[in-house]
Amino acid sequence: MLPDQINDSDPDSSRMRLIAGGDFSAMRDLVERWQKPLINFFYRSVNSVHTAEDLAQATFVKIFKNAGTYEAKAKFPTWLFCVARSVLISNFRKESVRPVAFAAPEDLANIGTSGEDGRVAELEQAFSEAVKTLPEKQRSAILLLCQQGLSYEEIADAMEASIPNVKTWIFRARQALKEKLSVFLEK
Amino acid sequence: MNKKLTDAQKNAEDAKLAEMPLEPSADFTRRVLEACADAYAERKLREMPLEPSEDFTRNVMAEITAGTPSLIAFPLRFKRAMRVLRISAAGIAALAIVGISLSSSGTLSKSSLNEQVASVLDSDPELAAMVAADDEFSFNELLAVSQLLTTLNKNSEQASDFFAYYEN
Repeated sequence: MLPDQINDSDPDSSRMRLIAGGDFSAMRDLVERWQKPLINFFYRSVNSVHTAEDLAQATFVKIFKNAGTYEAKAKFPTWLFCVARSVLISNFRKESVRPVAFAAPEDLANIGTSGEDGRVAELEQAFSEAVKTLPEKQRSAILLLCQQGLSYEEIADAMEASIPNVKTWIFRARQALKEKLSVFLEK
Repeated sequence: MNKKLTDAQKNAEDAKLAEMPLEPSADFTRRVLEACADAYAERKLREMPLEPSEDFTRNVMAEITAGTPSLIAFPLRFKRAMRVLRISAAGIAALAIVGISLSSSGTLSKSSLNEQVASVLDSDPELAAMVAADDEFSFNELLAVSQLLTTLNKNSEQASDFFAYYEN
């Protein structure tokens, strides 16, 4: 990469260069900055607080190990979520050979449903299930757009796909969510 | 008289207003529910309902620093770079010189360092050919390897650990 391609204005890119040199305090800063977005990205895919944190931790460890390969050609989140997605897909492959997972009571208790009536909680549950059951590409694309605020171009980079493909996945995700939730609302 | 007419007119208007001449289209309810579902989904997708647990950062840092902290920071690509560069003793020596320049200069610009690496590669066609064979190597990676080699030259014990790690 040529020097003029380096995105020096991005503090995360600067942190990555420090991390590549073994700077643990920069790594700590990065973890604190990105833990919430990462955990919530995973949570929408696995519906488990513990698994979401485990996957976020695995992502940070992977980022640390591969810090030397990071090139600040694009915004840092593009690379971060590219790594996160590879961790997620790897986890799905492992999970596919395991017995059916169950939702631990403490996982459900962590979601803020107190004070809401049962119907709202059911709607929340229906939404979570609807997101979780989306095909991985559709789910990741719409979460990166809506939850993480990435542009179509950044999502395409993160998912190593074309922009038209990303738009198609997001359109289909929106259609699927709308259909599943409206069926619930009609009940 | 005028008032009666006015009252009659008003009643007629009221009756007209009370009419509901239009029937909703058959799919009206469905379309409204879909719009509501769409708006709800859009709002929920933006949410980040989970807060990381209090010890999350500590756990991650513990995981990172566990094992072999002096080795883990060096990515696998260095392993490949090391294998290439170890083949050429001249290349190691030349890049170590660049590494020394890098360590001692401090303020040397990246473009100057790139020029130095390019100069080393120009002077060692064998090394240049090996590096060119792997087009994923960048100047920055070569610089980093040269820094590493320079550091290792100053600490032979650590160097033997590194070479044992990278060669296994």
